Amino acid sequence: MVWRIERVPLRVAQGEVSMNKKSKIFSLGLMILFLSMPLYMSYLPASQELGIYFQDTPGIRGFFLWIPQWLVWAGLGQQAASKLYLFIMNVLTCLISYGCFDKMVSGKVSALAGSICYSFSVYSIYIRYDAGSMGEMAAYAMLPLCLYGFYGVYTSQQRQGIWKGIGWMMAGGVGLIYAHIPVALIVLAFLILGCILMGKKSLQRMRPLVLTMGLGGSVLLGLPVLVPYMQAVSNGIFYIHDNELFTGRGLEIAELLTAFPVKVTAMEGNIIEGMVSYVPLGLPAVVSLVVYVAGVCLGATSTDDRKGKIKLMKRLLIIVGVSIMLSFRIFPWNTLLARLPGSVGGGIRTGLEHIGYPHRFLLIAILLLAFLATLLGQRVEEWATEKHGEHKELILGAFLGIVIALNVFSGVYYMNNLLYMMPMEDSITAIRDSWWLESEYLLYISK
Amino acid sequence: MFWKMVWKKNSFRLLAALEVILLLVGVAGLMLPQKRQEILPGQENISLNPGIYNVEIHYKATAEGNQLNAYDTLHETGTILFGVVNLYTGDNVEECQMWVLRSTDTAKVEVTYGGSGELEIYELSIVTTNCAARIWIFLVFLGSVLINGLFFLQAFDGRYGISREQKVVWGVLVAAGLLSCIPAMVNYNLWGDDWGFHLLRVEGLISGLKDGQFPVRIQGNWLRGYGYAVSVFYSDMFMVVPMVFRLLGFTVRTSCCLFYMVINLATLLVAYHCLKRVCKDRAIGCVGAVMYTLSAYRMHNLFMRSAVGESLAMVFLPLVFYGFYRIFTEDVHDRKYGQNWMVLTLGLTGIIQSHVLTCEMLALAILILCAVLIKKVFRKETFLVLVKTVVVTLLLNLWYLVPFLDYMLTGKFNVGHPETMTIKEVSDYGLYLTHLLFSFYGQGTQGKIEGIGMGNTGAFSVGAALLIGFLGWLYLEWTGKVKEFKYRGLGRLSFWYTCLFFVLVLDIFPWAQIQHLEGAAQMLTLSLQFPWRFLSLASLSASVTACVFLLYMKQHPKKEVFVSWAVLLVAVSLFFNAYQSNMQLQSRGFARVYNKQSMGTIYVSNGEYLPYQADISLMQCDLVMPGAGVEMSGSIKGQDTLHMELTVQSIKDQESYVELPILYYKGYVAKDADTGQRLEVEAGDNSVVRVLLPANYSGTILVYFGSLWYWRVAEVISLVTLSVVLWQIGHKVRRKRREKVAVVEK
Repeated sequence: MVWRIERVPLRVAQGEVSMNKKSKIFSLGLMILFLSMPLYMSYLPASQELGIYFQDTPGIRGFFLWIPQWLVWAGLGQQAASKLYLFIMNVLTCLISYGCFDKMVSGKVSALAGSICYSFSVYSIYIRYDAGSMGEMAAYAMLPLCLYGFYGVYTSQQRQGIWKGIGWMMAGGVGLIYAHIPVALIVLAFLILGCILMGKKSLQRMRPLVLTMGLGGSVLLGLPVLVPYMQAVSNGIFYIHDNELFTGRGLEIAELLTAFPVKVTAMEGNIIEGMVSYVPLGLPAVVSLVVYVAGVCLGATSTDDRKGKIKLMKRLLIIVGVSIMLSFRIFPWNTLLARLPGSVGGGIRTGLEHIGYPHRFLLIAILLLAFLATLLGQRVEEWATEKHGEHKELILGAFLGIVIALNVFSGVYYMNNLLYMMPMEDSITAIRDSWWLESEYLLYISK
Repeated sequence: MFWKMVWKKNSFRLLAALEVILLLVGVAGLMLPQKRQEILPGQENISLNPGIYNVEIHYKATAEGNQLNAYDTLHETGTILFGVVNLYTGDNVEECQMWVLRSTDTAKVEVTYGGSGELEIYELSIVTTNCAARIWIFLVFLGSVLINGLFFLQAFDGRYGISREQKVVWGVLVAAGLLSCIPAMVNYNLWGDDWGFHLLRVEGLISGLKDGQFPVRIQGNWLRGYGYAVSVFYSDMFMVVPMVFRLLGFTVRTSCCLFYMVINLATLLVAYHCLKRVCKDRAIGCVGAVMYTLSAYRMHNLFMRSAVGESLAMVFLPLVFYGFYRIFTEDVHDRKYGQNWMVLTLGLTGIIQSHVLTCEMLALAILILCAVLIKKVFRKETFLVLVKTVVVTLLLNLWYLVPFLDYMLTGKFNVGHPETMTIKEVSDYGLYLTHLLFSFYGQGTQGKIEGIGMGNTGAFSVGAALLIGFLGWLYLEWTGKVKEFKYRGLGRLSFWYTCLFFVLVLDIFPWAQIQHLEGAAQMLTLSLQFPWRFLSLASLSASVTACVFLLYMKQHPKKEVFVSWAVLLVAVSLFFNAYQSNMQLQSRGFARVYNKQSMGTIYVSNGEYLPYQADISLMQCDLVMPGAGVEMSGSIKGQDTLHMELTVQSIKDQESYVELPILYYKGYVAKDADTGQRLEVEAGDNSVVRVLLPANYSGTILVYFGSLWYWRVAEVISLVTLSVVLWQIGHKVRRKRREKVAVVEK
């Protein structure tokens, strides 16, 4: 019996409900305020990466990437347009992640904890203020919808719930396609893995049908972008042109587990040499992972309910593990692909080159570890209610405090370090004339 | 009874006896005669015992670039502390302190020729001093106070009991005090922006007193002996503390470190007592004091900017707040209400004597406060107390304010003129909102924002702990939880003050427009220099906000909620301070200066107090410039003194002049040494002192700085006011004691 995470309605009085709403607004407002810290300056970190979104170059532009262009046409400068776009993405990331976690798990602070872990993860900060990856930011915001939809499909006992779930999955899927196709490819692959791991459940009720319809619907709605993209792929246009290829751009294990992330470039003669990107998991994700691995290893009580929960966690951890392993440089891609039939291997290799960087697989790990933090919050709340009712507020406060502290030492520390170390760039004027020709964003710029 | 009980303990008597013996050893050291050892320049293998010496050199140089150095040839570090002394042009005598930490037979005193001009050494000797004995006595005294204090505390606890809360509070305060002093617990000084400037002030205070000035107005050790009126513009009252350390015999480096520690501990204690009394809670007072003392901006101010004046002013800001709090909240019909002027007067005096710019900012805050509480201001009793405060404050500080205003209103100096100020555009230093939300401040020193951004930026934030308290109050307001809260008014006032100061420091505030308004607005803005100075006031208001937030939490039925918040705020404060100090110590440049001669003389920072457009590069040692038809037969000007004696003769039948190597400020006197006839003094080329000579004048002229008569009147008024105030305080204390005794007898 799979553990069903039911939404437990809170027994509250009238005043308390409205106060909870205000608390939520306050908390989300603070999250957005701090996540958008670099936007309050007269310049923009990673702005040297952003200019190409406004270039008139051949390529494809998804819906989200039109937003900064529209803002420029409306009269804003390119930097202001970029900042506003970033702010919108920050708002969407915080609200969508919080909303999705809140719907999935009951409890005052659980959803908040998960949303904080997700929004302030090192990866989140990296794509916003280091890589300046506009498409990936939008994909990052949409990702929780896919998880929520998947959760709805597999946990609802009624058809309505399943259809609702697939609706959310489609919303997320379409959002991903219009934001960042390589991320959409990754999510598709992991959704398939998730369906496999769910075993018989994937074949029960209407799930095979709705999942197929959902996928088909997403592809259909994404055709305006997918068709020109596939044409470009068939013409042999690639993301990145370097000698490393996809298999050489993975992370070192040390990079992944670094506790205090800092701004690093390959030119700095760093201790870790030869890396192309530097995106650790971050403290909250590592701690979450450790807690859950410990929880799984230490086993469950004899109750069916607990066994059900452990089963779920195991599945989640498998996906997290796969996601992390795929991001490593040492993952034996070449060996595996060589064993596949030529066309299949070649197709996968092309797909990988379009994904571009192995660290993108971490997106799944980050999302699921944030979700696990949410589950942990709920478990803490249940435990506090059962065993220490009178100290419940304090225990929840301590839990939230620990979550915030871990994020401060991780994502916030990274963001602060970026601001401290990165010189002020004249935004957008740092565009190099011919650089866009080799840009990975080539495929996202419209004619 | 209690003291008798303690005295009866054998352990205490033994301790006291030991302390007396140690003190007597020090006193004996004071009596030792001076020994002089004449040496040759470059002489090696000089034998020296541990102690503090003066290296005296009498030389004559005709060019710059010559140097004097003393060191141990075998153990280059850790044996002799001296530094490199520049030998300036002219016929000079220098007494350079030298610290010998361990016995040596391989000491060397070296004179390095600069390569140009002539250098003649008339005398070079090493003279013993009794500084080591003075330091010994000081350390024994300090150690005795600490140990005896602990002894009494233990005895008191044993007899009467000290509550657990008090022990915890004082434990936290001691820990915070120690943590705040970590950057000073090294054998060097962090190279703060104004570090050299303030160290020169200390030496200048000593040289000014030796010069016969009291109070010191012009310090003669600056600008190659030309003097600098820093004491007129920047009160030296609290520079007496490092001056005492220097006179005891500590090195410049150690005196600076000790002074920083004194500032930190004073800030902590004053803030604790003020916040404790306002909140009527020891624990909240402790948390507020810890957050205030360890705030990111204050620590940055002290150690990275060496903004000693501003840091000193932050010691007194809580007193000003407490003073106003009492005046506006206490019962006006209370018999003791009329005495509420004392605390506020003390606070305002402290700030005036520390940092005039903080007065400027505080004036704005006080105006706003009075406007907000205008009804209370015009209550008869309150109005009287406020008037009394203003009057007494003015009178107490008249000795400083009169010369300051005299120069500012009648003179022309670089301050207030953008063309001569290093800081031309105040708006270039406006902060981003990002600064206020930033957490991991560390080693950054960059003050300018325009064109530079956040890279290596200074710690321009109140700090994470105060930010949490500020946001905590915002949450309470937003959710409407404070509607019935007793301290709501105080919380709101401090919260909105914090918001106001935050806005003032941001780049969105129109500083450029205000600066270009000309007149007083321009002068006040330019003198402010950096908008982020308002963070000193923001640190205080945010501390008060955080304290009020804790007061609200204290109302919670579960005590653990309050305790958790208090512990959280202290922990966050301690953590981020430790991080900041760690980064400062690891990354900031540092310096080791031992004697005053190693410091140089020209670090005037932005040169605000120089006469308008005076050029430092033209100020050469002993440069006497007679006018047309004047012959000089001799001149004497000692090191670091503004006294000058010169013998001149006018060979032409017309008025002429002679220009001296002294910067002109109002108050210089020139008179004939024989007849006492006063000669006119004015500003000459490059703002030097020009003595006007009547036709056919011949004689010896004495030139010195003499305070103006109305300055002296102001000093007397201040002294009388101080005496009256002290008498009143003494009277109040005696009355309190009588009341206590009366209560006990009842």
